Formats: sequence, C-alpha cells, structure tokens
Amino acid sequence: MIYLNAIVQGLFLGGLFALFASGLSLMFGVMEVINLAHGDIAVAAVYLAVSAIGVTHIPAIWVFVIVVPIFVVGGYFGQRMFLQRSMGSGPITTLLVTFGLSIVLENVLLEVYSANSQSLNVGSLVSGSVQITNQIFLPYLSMIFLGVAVAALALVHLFLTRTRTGRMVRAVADDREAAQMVGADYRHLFGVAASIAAGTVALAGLALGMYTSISPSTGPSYLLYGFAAVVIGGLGSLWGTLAGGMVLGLAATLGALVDPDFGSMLPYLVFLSVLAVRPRGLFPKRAAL
Amino acid sequence: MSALLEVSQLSSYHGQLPAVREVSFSLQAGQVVALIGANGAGKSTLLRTVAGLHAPSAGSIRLDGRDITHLGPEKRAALGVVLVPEGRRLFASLNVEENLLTGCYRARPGGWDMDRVIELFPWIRERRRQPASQLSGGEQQAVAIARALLANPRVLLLDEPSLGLSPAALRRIYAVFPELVRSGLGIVLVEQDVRRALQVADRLQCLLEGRQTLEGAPEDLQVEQIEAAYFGIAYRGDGVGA
Repeated sequence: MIYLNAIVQGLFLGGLFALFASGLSLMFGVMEVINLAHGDIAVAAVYLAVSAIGVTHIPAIWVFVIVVPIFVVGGYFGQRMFLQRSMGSGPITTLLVTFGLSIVLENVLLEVYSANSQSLNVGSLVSGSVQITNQIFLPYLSMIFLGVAVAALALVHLFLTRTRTGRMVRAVADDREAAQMVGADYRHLFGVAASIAAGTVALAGLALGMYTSISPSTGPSYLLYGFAAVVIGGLGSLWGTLAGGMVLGLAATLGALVDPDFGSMLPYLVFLSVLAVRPRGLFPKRAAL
Repeated sequence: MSALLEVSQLSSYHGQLPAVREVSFSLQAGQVVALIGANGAGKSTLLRTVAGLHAPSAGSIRLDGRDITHLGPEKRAALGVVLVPEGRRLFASLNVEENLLTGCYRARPGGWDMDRVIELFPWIRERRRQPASQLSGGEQQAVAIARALLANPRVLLLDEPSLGLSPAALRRIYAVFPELVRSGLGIVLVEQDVRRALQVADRLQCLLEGRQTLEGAPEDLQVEQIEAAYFGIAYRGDGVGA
C-alpha cells in the first residue's frame, strides 16, 4: 500500500514535471532552440506573482490569471526581438543568448527581491488532503496541479492539431522552407511556439512556488529535471515529454521510499539508463521526408 | 500587356559560386516555360531565387509589373508565386489532409479548393488520414502539387517533379498539366527529362553553367540545336529550323 501511495504521489509530481518540460520540448521541436533560461523563467513567474499579489491582493491560487498572460505575450516578443536575431548566426549563438538570459534573469531577481527565498502562500490548501485509505492521501494542491497540467497540455495539443496556426507550427517544425512556400512567416510561428512555452513554464513555476520555496538561483536545478524529461520522452515530442515527466516523478517518489537521498538520484539513474538503451528517447520524432 | 512573370538579368550565387548569370525570361498566364540543362546548370537555383529562397545578386523579378525582387518567400507565395520544391518536401508529421490544408493557410481567392484538388487526384479521398510519410514517391509528388494548387497560385514553379518517379507515376503527374494550363496558371518547369519537357512546354530555356544558351519555342528548335546548347558544344547551324 505504501508503494501505491508512492505511485500516486509520483504521478502528481510527474504531471508537474511534464508541464514544466513541455515548453522546453516545444522550443526544441519547433525551432531547435535549447532554452537554458527555461528554469529561470519559471522562477521569474513566481517572483512576478509575489509582486502581483502584493499589489492586487488577489488570492494566490488565482494569481495565474495575471501572470500567465504576461508570459504568453512576453514569450512572443522575447522570441521575435532576441532569439530570432541570434538564430541566423547559428545554434551556438542562440544557446549563448539563452545562457545570458538565464544569468540576467537570476541577477535581476537578486537585485530586486534579494536572495531570500519566496513562496506563494495558498493558506490551508497547502496541507489539505483527501484520505482514501490510511496509507493513501490525495493532497488538494496536487490534484489541482495535476488537473491544471493535464488541461494545459491537452489545450496545447488541441491547438497544435485542430487550429490553422497550430498546424502551421507543426509544419514549420518539419520543414521551414516548405512552410514558407505556402505563405507561412516562420518568425511569427516561432513566436507563437515561444509564447506557448513561456505560458506553460510560468504556470509550472507558479505551481512549484505554491509547493515549495524558490530563490533566484533555483532555476537551473529545475532545468535539469526538464531536460531529463524531454530526453527520456524523445527530443521534440510533446507526448514523449509527458511520459518522460511521469517516469521522472515516479522515480523520485519510489526512490524516496528507499532513502530520501536516493529519491533525488533515481530520476537521473533512470535518465541515464534510458539514454543507454534508447538514445533517441521513448517516443522519437518521425524522421524528415 | 505585361507578362505575368518577368525575370530580367537575374544573377544568383549558390554559396560562393555564381550559379545563375544574367538570365532573363518571361511567362504569360496559361503558358509553360521549361528550364532544361545538365546537373549543376543552375536550374534549381534559378527557381529558388524566383521563389525567394535565394537572394539574387543582381537583376529583377516582376509579377504582373510589380517588383517582387526583394520580397520574402512567404510574401511571394501569398501574392501567388508558389514553388513545389525538389524532393516534394511534404510535412512528415502531418497526415495527407493536413499537408493539403497547409496550402490554404495564406491562399489567394481562386478556383482551387479541396474538392477540385481531389477531383484531380481522386485517390487522395481514401487516403487523406494517412501520414504523408507512407505515400509512394509519385503520390507524394501529387500531394505536393495539390498543396501548392490550394494556395491558388498565379505562377507555379515546379522543380523536377519527375525525380525518382516510376514511368507510370510520371505519366499521371504530367496528365494533369493540360488542366493546370487551362485554369490560367503560368508554369515554370525544371525538368531533367528533355523529351518530357518538350511535350508540355510553350517556351524552352536551356541553361549551361548558369547562362542561357538557348531560348525558343520547342517547334522552332532542332534536336541538334538543343543538344548543342545542353552540352555546350558548338552547333554548326546548317539549316536552322523555321
């Protein structure tokens, strides 16, 4: 029964990892950008939420209504104004730009909010749970976050498969020139992908800020988990990333049954084993025609 | 009346190499211009320059009198200059129908819609849910042409549609040409198969090392003349046709 509980908690955690990593996967899948600032964007969302709550006194659980749209818009313009310019000079330049963005974000947060850790206070919600048996607890917050993660990923999926613009985002990921030949401006579509990535990672950041406390330097450690989820799933495959997140979440909670330290090590062991057995991940993207 | 497409003195580099040198031609609506030439003659580079995927180093491209030389490829496509690239280039993670729908993304108003495209290639109806990667080469070529038609182009640039196709598949692709021409489309065709090009073309352009070596209507040209222009050997013009 204790294992069943660990599995349930692992799936909750995995949903959050998946939501966090989906933007990373989308950025790589669509425009082959590895965004090293991904974790810092999540952290920045938490700090922005702290300020937004301070100003508007909105309940913490609803703060995403303010924060996520800001990141969606910011993602689009960040892509068009900074990343797009660097993309012409090759992948290393783009990597360095995102690395620079990571450092800048971290230091701006340090400057404005100091090195003190912050969290988003959701009151009694943080400790409330439903008890199923005497071993299995379903925390309210975890259920909400899993629901939000699944809903957000489903929305992204629907957008990519059912809308005209979403279809073109997938097309431009397959073949940029062929997409231009049907009149698609790839810069705009890259901006759309970046805005989805920024929106989903901001949402994941807010969830993390409600679970635990966050400091300006936390970003890169989440980035590592994100990378692991993306690579386990297969680079650029959104559903693969969901599976990768779940695998990591399960590894973290099942490992913690043995020993709390093993809980932080097992996800990386799983990551290395998947790399050894299936170097292209569980669900590799279809090869180009 | 100005030509539908007017290419004048166009030069373009492929990397460091001058691939197209001062090429000029014009295309009327309902006309097929065939570009022939050996491998590396600059045919594909010329087509890609007209489509906007390569920046020209000199010269101009006009569509209906409007200068489009410096427009991006997606803007040219929206104005009606659409390339069917070499090697088909379908979107691998999209199914057949989704590939076709991308053609409608920035389509101009016009006569081509999904029904009419399926009329042209009836087998698409049954197979529209299949991933594009499961199609044969000939079927992929048909979908690539259909995708371009759905954008309602005025100028269709076809880069080696016969590449890697079986003779039967090739016949099926060329069988739709009369219908395309009847719809008032101007077609620039790059073709390795000279005989095939001569059958459908109204005007022939031969390129050699990026330069035009021959220009004319197929019925006015001698086979020897075309061979000479194609291979770059001197043509001893005893009795030039017509």
